[in-house]
Amino acid sequence: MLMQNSTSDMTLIEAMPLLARNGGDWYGTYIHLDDAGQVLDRHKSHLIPRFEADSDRYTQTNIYTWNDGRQVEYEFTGVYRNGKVVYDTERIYGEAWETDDKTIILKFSYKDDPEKYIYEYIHLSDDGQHRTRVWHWFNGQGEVYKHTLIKESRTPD
Amino acid sequence: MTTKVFEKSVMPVLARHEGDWYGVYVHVDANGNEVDRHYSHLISVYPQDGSCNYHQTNRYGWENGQFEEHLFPGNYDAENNRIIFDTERIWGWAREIDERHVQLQFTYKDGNDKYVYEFVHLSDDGQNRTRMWHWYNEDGEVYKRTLIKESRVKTDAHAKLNL
Repeated sequence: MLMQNSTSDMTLIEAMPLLARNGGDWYGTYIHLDDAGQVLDRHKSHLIPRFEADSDRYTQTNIYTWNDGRQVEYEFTGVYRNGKVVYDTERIYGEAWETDDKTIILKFSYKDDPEKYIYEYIHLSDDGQHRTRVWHWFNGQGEVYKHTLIKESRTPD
Repeated sequence: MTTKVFEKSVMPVLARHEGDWYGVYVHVDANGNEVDRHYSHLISVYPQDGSCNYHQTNRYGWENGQFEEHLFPGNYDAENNRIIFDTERIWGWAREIDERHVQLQFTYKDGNDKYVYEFVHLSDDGQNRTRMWHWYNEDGEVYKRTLIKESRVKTDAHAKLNL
């Protein structure tokens, strides 16, 4: 459902119910492909979006783990503003919105490379147990140069 | 069939797709392993003969000589501002979700509950297109993805396959 009529005094959970259904732990795999479909990188993921009642924001922790033991962790906050969630961190600026009862779109850019942009499509299964996400990495001309395919579930492998 | 005049400017992002697109389809399983690959030539037109509001021809060519052509006549659904595709094989719709994207959802008419979501990204200059199909089982779990990269330029590989 499009939330074009939402007012800024709504809580995030009220305004973006599909996003709120993404709360909790997600375990998955990230596969990075070039524009010809060749695998560039692959790693495990553990994401924890945390929602609170009566709040205009949520916080998410992303933990990425590679087979060689390398681990990276990011934490960021999304704030509800005029029908969208806005992410404005040291690294990125982005906005996310719901396009139907299964789909969230997130558009963001890295602040050190603002001409390029990334679109992410998030699909949540009706039972809330399966999530599919894809990042498409675009250069300044809008030509894709990388894809990141993500498949997640509620239980660790 | 439709007899209503369709003004393509009501879906301005879709209208920018009009014309020819040459590309490559790469099908990968849920683990990112390639399961198939072929070339493509798609033609988007707005027929003026009343047969339908929007029409797309998808021509696929494999390097082993295999060839497929699929026709997708679509009609405008004013209530939901979308194009509906209702063919022998599929039922689905296409709508615009921002200034760069058309989103499609369709199901095959073979009796199962699987469904496909497609996101189509058009570059601001209208010269590059990226599409991805996400194939979901009845539980909403992805089991296949199709990565498609297209441009307005016909390559030697397309010419060789008569695409």
